[in-house]
Amino acid sequence: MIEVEDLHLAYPQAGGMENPVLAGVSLRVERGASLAILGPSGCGKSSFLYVLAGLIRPTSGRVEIDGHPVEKPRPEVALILQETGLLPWKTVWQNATLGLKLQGVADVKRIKRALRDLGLEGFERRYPAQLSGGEKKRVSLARALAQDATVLLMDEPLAALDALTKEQTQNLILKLWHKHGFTLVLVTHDIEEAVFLGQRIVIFSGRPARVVGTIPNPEMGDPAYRQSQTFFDRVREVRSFFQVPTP
Amino acid sequence: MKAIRRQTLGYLLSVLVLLVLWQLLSWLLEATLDPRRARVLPGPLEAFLVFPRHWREIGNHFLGTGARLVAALLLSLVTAVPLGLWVGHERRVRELLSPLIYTAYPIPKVVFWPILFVLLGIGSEVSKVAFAVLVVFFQLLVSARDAAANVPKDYVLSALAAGLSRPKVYWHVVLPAALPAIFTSLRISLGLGIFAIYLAETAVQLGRSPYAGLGFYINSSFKAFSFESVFAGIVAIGILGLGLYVLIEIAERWLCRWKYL
Repeated sequence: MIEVEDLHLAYPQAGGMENPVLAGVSLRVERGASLAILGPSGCGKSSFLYVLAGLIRPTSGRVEIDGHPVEKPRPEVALILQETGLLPWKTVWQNATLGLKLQGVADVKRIKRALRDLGLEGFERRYPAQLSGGEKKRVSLARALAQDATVLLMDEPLAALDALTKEQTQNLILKLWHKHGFTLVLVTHDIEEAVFLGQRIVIFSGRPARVVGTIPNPEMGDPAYRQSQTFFDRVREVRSFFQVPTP
Repeated sequence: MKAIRRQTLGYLLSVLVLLVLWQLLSWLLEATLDPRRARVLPGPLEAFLVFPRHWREIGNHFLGTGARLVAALLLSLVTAVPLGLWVGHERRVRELLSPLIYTAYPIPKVVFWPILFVLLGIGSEVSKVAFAVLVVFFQLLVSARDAAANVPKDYVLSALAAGLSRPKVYWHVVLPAALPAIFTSLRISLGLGIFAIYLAETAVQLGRSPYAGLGFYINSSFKAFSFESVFAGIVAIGILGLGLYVLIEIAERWLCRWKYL
């Protein structure tokens, strides 16, 4: 379970000034649940994810994952970034195992299985430049599975993909979420993606950002959801949050 | 394989073009100047004929210059690259030290030559290598610093998130990301290094070492009005430079093979 209480974050600026990014964010995600965070560009939603990943320390507030305060990156928490998460000088295998201490045959088998499950068998020695956009995403997912992550944090992971590959990869993430039961936190600016993958959709807004809306979305979970009337209604409901009255 | 063959052909062709130009220029001087002055530019054949007669002498000087050059380049690499990566990657260090680096960078290092010479021993090997290191060091330092400062943030973040320690981030992320720029800089450094070693070798020699270097050989051939030998020395320096250049190229193709897919 992820618990965030009254989280404040400010980046120091030149001249001793502070640039406030997050102001009093509180939320909790049950173990194995999925949460989509929506918000305009530059609203601090990526920073929020970095706090959860243990990459930056909040100015104040409480952040806990499974009862432990988050202080540094941990193997059970995987972070997938938008485009450049894979290191171009490392092969698929090296990228998938980055940071893992491989101990024995069991670990190697687990990673091989993860690559196979994601259709990457035979790609182990290729470099990211030799992969398509969708394949690169699958390598990032394989890394998360390889480290046996119980929490998967995704920062606009599919923004650079074409529409069809994006849909396929969303279906794949959904399938993996069902199969492995990890807790999913997805940051996106794509409303359809948020509605497709989030059991709950949280809307960040303002500068510094705070939570301005929470929309339950319990009907998600099936690839066919995309076609349903509920899906379209939910998308409309979410979109209404961002409607700016035209003068 | 095809690319390598094409590149080898390119090198051979350029050598041929250079030789033809050299021969033409030599003929031109011969036709227009009086014979005494035209002697300063002998044709390629006359220069090459020096090799069979003096191959042992030239070979030893070649080894001397080559060893100094390689030593200077390696010393600069192992000092400038780690320092440059550190200064470039750590924001606080960067803000603190960058002004210092950029102040030192444009100063022509030649001005320190006499000082080094006195401090490290007149004509000593240490002073020659140290001078070349001084010339090359800042070149490599600045490019390593710049490259490390421009490593995409996402690479570093995803490595940290994967649990890599900060020292490991240098090894797995910052260094490989900066490596192409470092190789480009190393190629430039090769030219600078040859210049520095040449200059150092033309300075006062105490005693006559057979490994005094091509700089010494060319300089003393000049003084003896043996212009064929001067050009034989220049050809030898050219071969040395080209050989090291090709080695650097091979190393880059191996270490940065992800760039040549």
